[in-house]
Amino acid sequence: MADDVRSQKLWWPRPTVRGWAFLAAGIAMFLYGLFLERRDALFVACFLIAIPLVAMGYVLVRRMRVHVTRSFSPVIVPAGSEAVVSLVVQNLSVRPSYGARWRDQAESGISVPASALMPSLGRHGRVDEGDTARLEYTLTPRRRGVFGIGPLILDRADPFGLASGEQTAGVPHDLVVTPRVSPLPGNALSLTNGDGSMHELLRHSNPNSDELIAREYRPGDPLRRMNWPATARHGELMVRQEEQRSNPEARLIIDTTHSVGVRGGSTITRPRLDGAFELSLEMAASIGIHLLDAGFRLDVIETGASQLSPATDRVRGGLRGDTPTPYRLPAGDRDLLEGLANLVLPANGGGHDTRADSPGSAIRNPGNRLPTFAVLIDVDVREAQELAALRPYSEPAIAFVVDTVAPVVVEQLEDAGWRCVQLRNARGIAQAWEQTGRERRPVDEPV
Amino acid sequence: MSRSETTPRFAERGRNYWPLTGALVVLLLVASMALGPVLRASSWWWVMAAVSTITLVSAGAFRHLGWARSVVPLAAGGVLLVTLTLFFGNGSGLLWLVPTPGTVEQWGGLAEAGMLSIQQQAVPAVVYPGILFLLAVGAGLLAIALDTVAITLRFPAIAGALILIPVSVPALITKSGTDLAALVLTACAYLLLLRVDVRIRRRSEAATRDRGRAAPRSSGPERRGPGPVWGSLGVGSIAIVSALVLSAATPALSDSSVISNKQTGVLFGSGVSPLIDLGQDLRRPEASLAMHYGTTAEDQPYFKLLTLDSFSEDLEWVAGRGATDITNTMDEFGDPEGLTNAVERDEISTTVQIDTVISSWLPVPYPATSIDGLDGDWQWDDGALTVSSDKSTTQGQSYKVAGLELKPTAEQLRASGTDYPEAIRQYLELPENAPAIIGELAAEETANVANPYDAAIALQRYFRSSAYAYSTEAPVDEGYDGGSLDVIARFLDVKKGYCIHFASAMAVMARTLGIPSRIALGYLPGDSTRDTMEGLPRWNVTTHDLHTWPELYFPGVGWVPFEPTTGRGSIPDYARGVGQASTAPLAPSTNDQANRDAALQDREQNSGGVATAAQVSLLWLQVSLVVLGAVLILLLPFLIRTVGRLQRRRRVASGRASPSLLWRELVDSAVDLGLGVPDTETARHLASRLSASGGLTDAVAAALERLRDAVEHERYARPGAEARHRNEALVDDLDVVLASLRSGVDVRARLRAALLPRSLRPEAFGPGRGRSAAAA
Repeated sequence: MADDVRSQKLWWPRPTVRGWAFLAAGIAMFLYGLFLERRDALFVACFLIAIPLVAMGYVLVRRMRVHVTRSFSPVIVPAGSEAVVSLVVQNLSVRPSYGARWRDQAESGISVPASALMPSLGRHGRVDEGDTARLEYTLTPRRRGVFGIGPLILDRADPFGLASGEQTAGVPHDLVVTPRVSPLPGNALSLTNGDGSMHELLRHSNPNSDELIAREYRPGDPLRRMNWPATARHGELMVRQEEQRSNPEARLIIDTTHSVGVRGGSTITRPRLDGAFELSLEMAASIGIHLLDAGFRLDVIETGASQLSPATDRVRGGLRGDTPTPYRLPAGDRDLLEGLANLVLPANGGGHDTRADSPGSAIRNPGNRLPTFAVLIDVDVREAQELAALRPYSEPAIAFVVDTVAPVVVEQLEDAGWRCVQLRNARGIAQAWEQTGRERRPVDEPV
Repeated sequence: MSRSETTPRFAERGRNYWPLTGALVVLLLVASMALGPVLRASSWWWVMAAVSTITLVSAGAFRHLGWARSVVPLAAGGVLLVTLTLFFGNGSGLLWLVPTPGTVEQWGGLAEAGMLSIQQQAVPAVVYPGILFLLAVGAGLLAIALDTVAITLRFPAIAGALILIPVSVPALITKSGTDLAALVLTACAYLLLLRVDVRIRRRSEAATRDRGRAAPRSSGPERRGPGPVWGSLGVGSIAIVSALVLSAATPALSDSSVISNKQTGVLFGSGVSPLIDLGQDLRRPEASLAMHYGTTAEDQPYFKLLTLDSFSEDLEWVAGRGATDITNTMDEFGDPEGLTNAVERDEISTTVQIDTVISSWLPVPYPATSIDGLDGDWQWDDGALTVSSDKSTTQGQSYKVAGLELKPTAEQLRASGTDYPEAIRQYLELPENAPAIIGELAAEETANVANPYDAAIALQRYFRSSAYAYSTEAPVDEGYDGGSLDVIARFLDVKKGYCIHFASAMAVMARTLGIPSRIALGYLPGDSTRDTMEGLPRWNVTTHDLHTWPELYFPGVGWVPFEPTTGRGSIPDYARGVGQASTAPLAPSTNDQANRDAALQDREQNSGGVATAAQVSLLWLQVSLVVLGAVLILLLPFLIRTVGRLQRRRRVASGRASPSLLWRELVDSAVDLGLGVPDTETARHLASRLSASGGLTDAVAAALERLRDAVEHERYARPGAEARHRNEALVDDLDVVLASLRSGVDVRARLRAALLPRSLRPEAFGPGRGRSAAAA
């Protein structure tokens, strides 16, 4: 508790507008009284000058000792939605508190409401007086990021409204604002054309597929999972049950670097690039949550130095040999969103590491072709080549391209076999996703 | 700090503002008490209290009923009219309540009479119905203004400026200013108003707080009750007490200040009022021209305003003859009392132009036989032949007085005897409880004289002797101002005073000796100028020429003026001295002028010279003490910091404290110099930062390293490990490092570090460099 008080920041009390007016009037009257030799005017003047000063002294002396507990609800909030900040303020002083105001503070990017009255707190430990107040307000963070909220600022006042002094109470807490997650249409399982590594293992150890438990066919099950013997036996379409235990994987590529190429982002202004970055992270978060919910294990590859799981050997970028960051349920969705909340776009183009390995080293299981999604904002020719090199290990390979990407690069990617889907704004996320499904259907599904 | 967004700008309907109304009532009642020193009796306070309370409460009631904001003051004004009709309508109102044209007429008369008596009376003024009416109107209007400003417009603090109106009235009129007790009470009531306002504001904000989604919400104990009572009392009483002390301790700029002359009579005119106020007029530092005149008389006459001839219950001289006979119009003047044809006389004519004096008594030389050119309705008084009016004033009057210049001889007076007519005997009355010293002293001074005239001369000589000094200040300083019998006794003891003391003392002593006497109040002849007035030399009479003198009655001659005041006025021929009076050649005017100037100079030298030197030195002492105190207070942070630094060095050097105290000193000094030092920074980090900042010579860097090593050794070494440093050397190292740090910053930063060390209160000077407030 003692530490709680010592860590307080205390500002000098300041006169209010009324206090300043008193001081000004007092000084004017003091001069009048002094030069015209009026004791009564001098008294009034001294009174007018003294009362704001004494009030400031009162405010200075009567600092509040409170214990503040802060909590957010929900703990992680998507950008654009609301979070309720709850503060429980308990009076630790033997004196009740009167007339204080409170306001919270936040790092730039989050707007907090103006100050409000705080209920008068009773003496510490007096249940009948009530020494605890609960303060609440609603935040609506507009931007993704991690923001320090707090400490609480208490504004003490004197009984006559002449002076006020601020002090802090409690400690700041971080509010994690994740990118907005748009619900995507469709069943992600339909993406897989591989069988999953677990299934491979099972199949190797148990070659007799007939003995595997079958279940009835449900729309969306791939044709190649049909258990034809069981179908024959039951007279209706059956699929292999163990497919559920399979371990589908997917790959998500996030563009966290600027290009420094000739036709690169040098012509793109920083605010536009920031907007594109936010949009790409929203897309990535939507895809990631969609895939994780569908039971995928997700490998996230950053083109720049890893910020999701930073380490000294992970500075080259996922396309040049750094291992991807894996996510899977049950905790993966939260980890992914928190990780995305913390991502920043480096200020400069970022030095490309020349000691790059081949992109193949990012692929843990070269024999398997994983569904790969790339969200691109600013790719140069060289990165496009690296992406192209990844194409053979990807099926399908879909690149969501924000309009800051140069058309040359888009062409290059399409030539390499990437399916490029244009992404213009956050409202088009679901639509863009749907577009990929429609185009794929005739290819993948025989129906 | 946008707290005003949520609080309503103006008073709202349906909200409870009764506490504010109550506080305003208290404030107004207390503030009107401040008028006490200006007005006599206390009935006026009750009337003011009633009117202001009724007005304020009615305004509160209209607001309570939900009337529109703009209507409330008008409705309260209506209530004020009804109240005034009831109190001052004299039954002329419809049902005694609704004002009628007759009521308005009545009020007009009252207001006029009130203004007139305000102009004429001096403080403390007797509250006639006219003044009472004006007071009631003022209180009512003030109540409406206070209600509008404090409640409707929600500026209760500005109500303080309005309440200064009644409070400052005594300050403008009287010399002593507003009573301090009244000021303190008013301040208390004002604080009460502020406190009530803060509470109402809070309650109103709590009730009307923003209910939007993003608005802050709070739930907590619903505390009721008066709030921080002790806090309010503490703040208020400390402020008032310190204001009392400060205002008493503030050295006043001395009287010699060019702008210190006080213009009295802002509200109450520069009226002539009996006795005490005469003293105030005389004490006024700057004289103003009262009137000027030209006369055909050989000796310039005294101008008499009124006579005081009897004693009130509190032994004060009053004009006791009762109302003037209204048939004594200007058409025909009466004869002077007791004057016979045996006395030699000249017919004189005096033309008077009044300048600033405003009075209902006319300055007239005695005795007058006719007055021409007066405006208004004037009457003359039977015995004294003074001229007064109860409707007109002297303002701007210009008139011509025909009169007599009497030249009785000493022989005539000496032979007049003591055969007083019946009507004159009343001028011998003395209160039974008159102090005995007056009679004893009179008998002593006239022990060997044979007749009333010689007795009068003896008394006059006694008062004009060097035993007595003329002083307008002494009576005030010693608290015996006025003309009552007790005051006279005191004056005879102290032997310092001005005309009123001399005149009333001589008059009373004459009565104890059996000579009829009275006091005349008026103007000295004044000073001659080079200008002429209707062919005659023009004489100017200033307010400093206001004077009183005794008149004694001698059978066959009538009322004869004497001049006992030392250093003032001229001694009439007949009063020059025993025997040789008629033979002595006289040059009254020039002689008198010199006489007076000398007296004035004496006075200035006596009271001024010595006292001024003492005052000046006292003033310098006070000023230098105040300056010294201010400098000390300003240097306090520097002193605290320096003493602390020396203490730390000494403790470490003597081995009582460990080297980390030196390191703390280093950190504090760095903070003082504006190099922000976060709490979390380690000694090694700070040392490397200081070294990296550059400017450190090798020797300094080595010293810093030794310091750092010592601290790290103390903090992190195994217990019992051998220390490699000597504390004395470390102190020297610290000095070296500090000197180097200081020389690394500019003069302003160094000065600030010395005078306003941040380390004393790091938080107070805002967040340090490179640290955001949020990341505390």
